[in-house]
Amino acid sequence: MFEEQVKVCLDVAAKMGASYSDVRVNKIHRKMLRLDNRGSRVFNDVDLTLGVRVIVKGSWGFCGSSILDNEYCKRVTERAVRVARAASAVNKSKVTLTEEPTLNERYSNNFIKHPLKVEDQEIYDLLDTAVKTLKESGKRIKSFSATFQGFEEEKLIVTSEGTCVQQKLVGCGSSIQGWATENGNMVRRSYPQSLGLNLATKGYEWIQEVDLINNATRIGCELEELLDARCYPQGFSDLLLADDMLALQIHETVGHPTELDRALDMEWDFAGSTFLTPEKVGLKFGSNCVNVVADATISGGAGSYYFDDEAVKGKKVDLIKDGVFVGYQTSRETAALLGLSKSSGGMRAMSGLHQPLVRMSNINLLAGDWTREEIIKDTKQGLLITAPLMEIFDQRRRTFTFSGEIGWRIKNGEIAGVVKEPIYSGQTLNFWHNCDAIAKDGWTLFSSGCGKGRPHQTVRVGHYCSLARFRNVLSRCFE
Amino acid sequence: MSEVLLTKAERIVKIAEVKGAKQAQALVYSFDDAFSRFSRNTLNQSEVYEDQGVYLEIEKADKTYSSAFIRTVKEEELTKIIDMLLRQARLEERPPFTTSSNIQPINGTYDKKTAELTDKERAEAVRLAIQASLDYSKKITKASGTLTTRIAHVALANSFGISLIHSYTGCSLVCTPLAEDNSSLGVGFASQNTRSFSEINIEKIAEEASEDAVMSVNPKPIDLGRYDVIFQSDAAGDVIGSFVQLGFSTIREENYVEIGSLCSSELLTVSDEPRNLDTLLPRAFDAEGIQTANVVLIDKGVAKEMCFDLRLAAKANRKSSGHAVFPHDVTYSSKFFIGWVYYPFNQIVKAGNVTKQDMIREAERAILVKRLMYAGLPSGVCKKDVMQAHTMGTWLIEKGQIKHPLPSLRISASLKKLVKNIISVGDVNSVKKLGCINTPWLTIRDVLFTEMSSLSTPENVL
Repeated sequence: MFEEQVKVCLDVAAKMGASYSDVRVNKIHRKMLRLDNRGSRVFNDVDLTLGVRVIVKGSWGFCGSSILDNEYCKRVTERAVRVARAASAVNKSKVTLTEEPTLNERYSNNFIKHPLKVEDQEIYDLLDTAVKTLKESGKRIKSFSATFQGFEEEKLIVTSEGTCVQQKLVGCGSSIQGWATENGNMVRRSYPQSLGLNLATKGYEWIQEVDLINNATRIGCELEELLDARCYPQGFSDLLLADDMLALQIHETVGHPTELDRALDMEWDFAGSTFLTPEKVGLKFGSNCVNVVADATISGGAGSYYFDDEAVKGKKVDLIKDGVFVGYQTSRETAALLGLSKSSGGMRAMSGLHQPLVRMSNINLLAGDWTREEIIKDTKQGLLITAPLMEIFDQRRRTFTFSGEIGWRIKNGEIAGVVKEPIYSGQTLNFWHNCDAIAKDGWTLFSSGCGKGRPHQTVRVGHYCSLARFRNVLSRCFE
Repeated sequence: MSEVLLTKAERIVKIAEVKGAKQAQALVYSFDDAFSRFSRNTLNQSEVYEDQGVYLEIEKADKTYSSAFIRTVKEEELTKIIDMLLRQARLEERPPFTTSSNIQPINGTYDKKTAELTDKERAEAVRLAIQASLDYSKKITKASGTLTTRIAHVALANSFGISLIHSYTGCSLVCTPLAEDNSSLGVGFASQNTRSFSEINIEKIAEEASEDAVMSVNPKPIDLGRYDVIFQSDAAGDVIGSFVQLGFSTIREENYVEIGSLCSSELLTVSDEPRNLDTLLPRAFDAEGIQTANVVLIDKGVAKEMCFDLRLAAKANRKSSGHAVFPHDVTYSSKFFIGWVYYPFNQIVKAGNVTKQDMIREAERAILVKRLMYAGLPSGVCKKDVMQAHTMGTWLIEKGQIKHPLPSLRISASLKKLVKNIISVGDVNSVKKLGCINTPWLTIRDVLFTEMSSLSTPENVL
């Protein structure tokens, strides 16, 4: 795909004096089908974009375009070089990159049924049954939505170092949400996750596995319970985070803080920074049972890939090992700045138009020694929360406040009733130090659309996790 | 350029009709965006893109409908996508496309100098910003920020003869320098958003941000609880922008605000003025090809009017006010500017008559806040009306004087209560253009702070 255009770009960059160049062509098709109170809708996103990144006189230049003919490729490359040259007149330091192996490979992920080749009607039938089931499960359920998204992303990356890689990722996700209201009180429940679709690099079989229909009844019943539920009294107690709530906790307090561009103060103008600055490598981050990895290699993950957008192979990298902060997610440039010999393979862009940034792949909390049931049985007094509703944290991710759609009281090892929209707050290090139990069963994929950078880019990231317990956490409800 | 895009839009509509669409509507856009991002005293991200694409909607004779956002204008690709859309079309409750009408254009949205800005000029502007930050104080150790420019052209055509074009430019400078004093770290913030690069005062913005950074080192903690807060314009914009979007925009929450009710302090008057050149994103027509109209949303605290697109207008038996937004914000995205996205995106908060100095002078004990981080929609405000955010640039005021910097504080408050508790509105000199909202400073009574976090706290665990 587009080999001729890519060659034009590399040739022009070399002739104009670029010491390094890479060219990325992205072809993306996303199809979304949605059913809600307004009816059914189909919406497509189709991208065909090119990005040329060069280093000239030690400075970066990047130009992206949605026009890919040969003449335009020349123009785009010339502009990238011009931009880099202008930057080099300002900069005193020069960009260096880690040495990486030269690759010539193709990759496609495995799947059984291509989600974009499933008949629309089959998908609509599934969504329709799911929302009907949801509506029938409660009289006070007033609004609903069910959504499917399928995607196919093709990428060609060629570098002046001789690398040429092609990657095709196919995937999909789905979700169902319901809202119940009574006397001005409104509550929401979602499945399988509350923020975004539960995307995976898997075929349509993932949609069947997620099983919206059978879970629609459950969340419908929970909506009814929530309307009649009370708040959780403010105070310190044991907190059990389940599924997508735990995924959000990992995303915001481990994933973002371990991005090396943040640690090197490159994101102050927009996304903020991190308390895990380079001298903190080796810091005791959490209890001994806390192990977190950035894993691009895991099959089916929302953030799984074979190559990143610098054509570095996706890796599994330890971030927190036995409770100790041991490593960052990096790019070739940021790794070199820190004196590391290799990139973690964590650079991705939203499309060919955008310059890649350090992004999460799948940030996973590794399974512990407990079963989910054992953790609940072992908890005398506590609160179990799932389905994020709201999140807030400071610029360095030292502190946070999160809330969920639903909570359950735990009393003497048993679930003892629903709690309405619980909130909890904490300090990142104290919180992870107080993690004393992590489940080994129910380890499941959740995904998020993660925003970062200027221009703002949203990319798909994943989190595998199950259930974990945190001792002595401040919990409360909305006013 | 706009005329070229219009020809493309008309051509796409024709192709769709020939292929079997009964009606089609195409919005073709072209963005030339440049981002010069600096950190660690280096221009570390020089990024430009030339993005052309189409938002295409088709309707078949059987009243089925489908749409796509397409990032290419290559006819061969578009033809394939039209075939796909014709296969996918579904029954959907939606208003018909707009028929041709006489739309009054808005001139003055396009600045030629900004459109012709060179890469060298951008880099030189960044050099100036870095230098001005470092020159301000030896305590400034790292200059960082972003200079962005946009050149945009949009054309809209449909089967009913709509043929509309619009061009605009935008420019934004954000400076976020870091100051260090022994082991204490402070970050500053200042920004300017305009449609013309020549209006950007680089040194002034860099110095203002550096002053904030230096003034923020060695913060002293205070007790958490309720305080009167003076929100500078950037922070005030998050409060008002969130409230207006939830209550008055075309993506409003149902029944969030009742028209005719007293919804805020009587000191608050907010309008949306898409036809006013004093806003940064004025436009003559909306995503549905309807002429835009200025709308008074809140008048002295009373909810007066809401924004309408064709769907909401049909439901309410009203006329559209020309506030339909594109699914991907393709034309007037306020994401381009520094603010979060707030709809509608030409909000004007009417200035009061209190000077910035008097707002501080009159405060017995209050907190001055420059900017809110992670505020706004959708993540910072949930359906329970609670807004959470972290302050950036936070100082304690006692007896009319700034006493000392404070750590970053977490606000947790009902949006409805925040706007009801506005006790003073800054004068015209305090007004800042944030991209989607022009707002003065606001003082708000009894704002609840629930958490405190310093940039440079040692990592003491347990």
